Amino acid sequence: MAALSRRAFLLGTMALAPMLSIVRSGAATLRVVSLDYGLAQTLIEIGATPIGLIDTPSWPIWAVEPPLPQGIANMGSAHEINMELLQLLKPDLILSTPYLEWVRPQLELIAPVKSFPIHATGTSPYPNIVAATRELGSMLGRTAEAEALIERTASELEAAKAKAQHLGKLAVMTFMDARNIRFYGPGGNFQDVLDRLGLENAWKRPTNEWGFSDGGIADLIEVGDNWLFYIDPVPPDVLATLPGSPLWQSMPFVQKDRARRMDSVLMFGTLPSMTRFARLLVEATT
Amino acid sequence: MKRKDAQPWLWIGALWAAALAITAFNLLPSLEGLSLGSVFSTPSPDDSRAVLAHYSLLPRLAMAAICGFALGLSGMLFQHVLRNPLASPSTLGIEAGAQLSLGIAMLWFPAILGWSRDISTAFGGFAAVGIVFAVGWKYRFNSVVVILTGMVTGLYCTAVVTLLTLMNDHYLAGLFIWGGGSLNQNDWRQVATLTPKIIGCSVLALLLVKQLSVLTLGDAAQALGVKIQSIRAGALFVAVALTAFTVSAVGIIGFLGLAAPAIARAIGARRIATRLIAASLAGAALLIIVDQLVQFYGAVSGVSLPTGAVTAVIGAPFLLFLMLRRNVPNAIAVQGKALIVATPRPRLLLSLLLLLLAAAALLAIVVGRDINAGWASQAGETLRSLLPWRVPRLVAAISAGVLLALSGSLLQRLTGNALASPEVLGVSAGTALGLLCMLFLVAQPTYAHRLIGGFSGAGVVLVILFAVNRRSHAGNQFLIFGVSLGALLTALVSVILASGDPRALFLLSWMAGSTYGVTPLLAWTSAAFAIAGLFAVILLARPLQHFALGDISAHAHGVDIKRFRALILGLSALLTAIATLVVGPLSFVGLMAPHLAQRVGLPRGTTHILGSALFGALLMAAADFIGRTIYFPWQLPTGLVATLLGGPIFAVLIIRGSRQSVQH
Amino acid sequence: MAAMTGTSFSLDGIGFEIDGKALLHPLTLSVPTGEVVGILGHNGSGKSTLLKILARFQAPTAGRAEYAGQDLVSFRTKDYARRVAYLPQQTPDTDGMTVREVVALGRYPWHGALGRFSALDKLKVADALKLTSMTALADRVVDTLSGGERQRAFVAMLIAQDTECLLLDEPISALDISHQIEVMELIRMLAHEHKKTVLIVLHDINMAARYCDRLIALAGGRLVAHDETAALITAERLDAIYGVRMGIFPHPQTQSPISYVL
Repeated sequence: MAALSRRAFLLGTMALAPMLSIVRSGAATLRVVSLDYGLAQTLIEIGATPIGLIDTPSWPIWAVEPPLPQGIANMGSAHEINMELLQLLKPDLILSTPYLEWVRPQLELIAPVKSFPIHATGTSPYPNIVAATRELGSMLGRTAEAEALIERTASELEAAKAKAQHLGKLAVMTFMDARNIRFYGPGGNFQDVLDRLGLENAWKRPTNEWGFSDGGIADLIEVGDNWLFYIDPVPPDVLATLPGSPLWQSMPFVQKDRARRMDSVLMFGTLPSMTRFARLLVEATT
Repeated sequence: MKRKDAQPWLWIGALWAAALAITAFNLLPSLEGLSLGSVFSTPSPDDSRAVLAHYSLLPRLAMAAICGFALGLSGMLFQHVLRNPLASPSTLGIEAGAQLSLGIAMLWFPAILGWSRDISTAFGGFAAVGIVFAVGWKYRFNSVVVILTGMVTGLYCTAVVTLLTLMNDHYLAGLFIWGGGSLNQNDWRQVATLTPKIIGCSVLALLLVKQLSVLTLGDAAQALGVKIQSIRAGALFVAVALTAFTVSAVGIIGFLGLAAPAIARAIGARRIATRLIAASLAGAALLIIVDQLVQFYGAVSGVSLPTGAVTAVIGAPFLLFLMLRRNVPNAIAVQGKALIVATPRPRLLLSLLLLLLAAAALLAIVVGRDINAGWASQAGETLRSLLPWRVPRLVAAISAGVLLALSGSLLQRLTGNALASPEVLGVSAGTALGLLCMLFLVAQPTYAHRLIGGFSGAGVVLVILFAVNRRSHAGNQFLIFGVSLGALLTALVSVILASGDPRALFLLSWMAGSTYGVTPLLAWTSAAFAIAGLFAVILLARPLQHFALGDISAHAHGVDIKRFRALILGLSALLTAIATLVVGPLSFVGLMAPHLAQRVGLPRGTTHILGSALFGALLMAAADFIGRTIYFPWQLPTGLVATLLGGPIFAVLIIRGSRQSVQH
Repeated sequence: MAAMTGTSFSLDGIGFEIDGKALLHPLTLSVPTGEVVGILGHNGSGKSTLLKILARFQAPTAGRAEYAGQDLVSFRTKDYARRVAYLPQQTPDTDGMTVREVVALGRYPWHGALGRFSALDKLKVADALKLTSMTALADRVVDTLSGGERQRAFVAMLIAQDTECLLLDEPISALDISHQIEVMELIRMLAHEHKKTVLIVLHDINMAARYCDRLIALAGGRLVAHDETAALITAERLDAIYGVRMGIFPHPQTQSPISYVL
């Protein structure tokens, strides 16, 4: 698995090599289309706003930050990218994820494709995200901005660390419906943030390679009287039925008023969503 | 005699003993040290273990028992009323219908859900039953036709749910868990609301017992003064209601309603009253066992699987087993064929179809949306830059349409069954299963990997089909085999989706029949196969005519039946596998195109084959264009658009049909 | 021969057609009570259709039929089932029931959906089993019986139904000769001693000649003859029915006519 990803990575870099030289020789703004929310976050932060992005209408629901600048074309769903629109946009570079590797040959007919393996690589995603940020910076002639973003993130996380110490131990989850939930742990962005903030995850069960595991309301008992954060969006019927559930009411964290709803944070995001997550953690409890 | 009558109860006792033992093994560690009082009365909120036992473990146990009971009863009622040992809420498409209607309600009419989930699931359930019966009635409730219709209806509903999920994947995550049948409970509220409904239905069922027992005589029961139609309708109403209530509470518990009645029969329950009770009790015990095992597995591995999807993964092969063991009457009356009048001018009709196809293809090539989503007919340099995107997918779609139509035409001829099609045959599902394996064996599968996986899957199905073919005398058994493979596939996919694995999303888009990843090489390869296939099938047209008159007649006319059937099966499996890799397993074009050709007046011979192929191509070309432009910039998968386009037309045709032919 | 005591069925222009094709042309006749009435004819001559109309299984597309002076359509379903019993040509699949259970189903019109299965019901079932010599097989599962035993089980069910009229569509087709005679003797006894009216579709002319008091002959959906047996079994009239030249000689003992193909 790891070997394969590395190979894909190497191949990708090699394919890009001729183009990279063109980039360095000066073209200021490359027309970039991002097929991934997380990479688009980084692009916007380093001032290389993409001209096209998948599923733009859902951005405020899932990614929120940074706000999406006007005029980014909607490339359709990630399952079926609008190739014609992509062709008509005539991008210089397409940013992709390993999950879209299978349409790479077609994408490459339009523009060079660069894909960043960040999640499910067998390591925690943070180093991958930092590496991807640096590479994006150098590819797009925004090395300084990329370094600044990395610095900024580190310092913001450091600042949040001081303010978050009262949290101690906590669990992060989303509601799938009123009876089923998804917990986040090792392998995912949120765990990395918790590690940087010196906080402990109250959810101890193993997670899959994307950093989450599923369970029922009853499994929340393992959270004990620690903090619990449930991330938006919450399905409509959950908030209507949950308060009436004696099981929920009897949870120690509910009785100690330590359950907090948290605004959306992209779970497969990059640096901006990590600082966002840290900030929301602190804001929700202070 | 007395001892023999006691036998079912001994078995039921043993099954319950097993259920209780597994429950005890699984739950006792969690209950250890708790007093009975603290578990069964409202526990103090401080005692977290008692809270867990009282509000989660016990209600979940109760829920498993109630739902199992309801589905067992429902399945037995269906089987008895339809006089068909393969009938069940799953095989009649009722659960999938309920799921679809719940999904639609979730997206567009959330107010209905707030008011009553039961209403929306019951609506879907009754709609599915309505379709199955409308078709079944035409075929005098022939058991294979009824099950085929039910399972195809179910697969169709699942296809639509797939489309909804693709368009709204973030919002419908809950629907998948629900589709997978999760028995998680937070308190006793659901148990408290479901129990009286199930008790009410059970009382109604018991009141019907005497009439139901006369119903064993079938139509002859009428001579005994039973109002057959109203008893049937009443029993079916109860059975659908039981399913709808269960589905709205916990989702699809696949195939439990098939297994429980089968167990009741197998352990020697003969009388209907005994059978109803035995099936209900067996269903309850069975679901408890599966659910406890799922919980145990979840605790050990950290992966919580939806119980209902697990029962379906076990249950789909079980259907196959039942089918092979029990010689279900599978002679299907060929009806209505003689009444379809052949057009006096087949050439004119074919030319017209060809013209339509050319027009659709032209539309699909030159018309699209511009960068601002406005409609435009493109030309010149712009068109040239777009051709690499439009041509391969159009060619692939048309080829797939032709391939599936040819395959469907072959199978319908071979079996004399209007409902036979590659989707129904299971080759599509086999291709999908092969691909699924590949997806989990190789980290980042390339197109070649997927091709190999798909072909191997189709090959395995092909070999099994040959084996079944050798065993069965009539051509219809493997159709049920095919649909149960399809059901297994959807069950597996829903397990994978419920586990939250992102790979499932790729699978989903392929299943939906997305053609956007088609390479020119694949497109032209498919086209070459389509043309070669067309010639091959035309060559076979004459011996196939003999099959229209049945095996015996074909034999009498000197066709080597076994070898010929194997040849046809192999050919149609090959055609299907190539097409399935392009448009996914759920398009149903192979079912619809030959029918459409027949209805417009091309019922026989070479003209029928050409007509089917043209209809398949036309359907796919139209679907390609519509899917690409209608919801711009979103791209709808071609396969699903074809299904949605053709499905309603087909349903109307097959239900309306030619009424006159029914009576004979 | 039983005395004529009244009229069971009386048909007035009864006909049946599908898609404009007449399966039964308008037909007028009346059937006396207490007799065994055989219905003869070719395949597709409309025998089964006629019986289905009488059993109210199919509604006639023309004409009017009465039973015991009352219009057929005016009967309530259960009341009709208490007076007229019907055994279709194809006996249904019984899905694991025992003979006794199947025979007991015949009591349904009497105890109804919610009523108790009374001592009288039990008695009638036992009688029916005895009359058809099925007592020994009463606890066997019907599916395991031979074709003849199966058919007798269904005749027993009809007897248990305790109606004054029986409509039987080829009830002896699957029986060997000794059981055929047994069932026909039973049927004649039911008619003559228990005053039941029996309408029976038969294929075998000699069986009909021997056991029926009266014969109805159909050809191509038309009534070609309706008369007492002795008057009908003549070479000329058989020729009219079957279109085959036949010879007749009297049975050496019973004197009932026996026909043979010339």
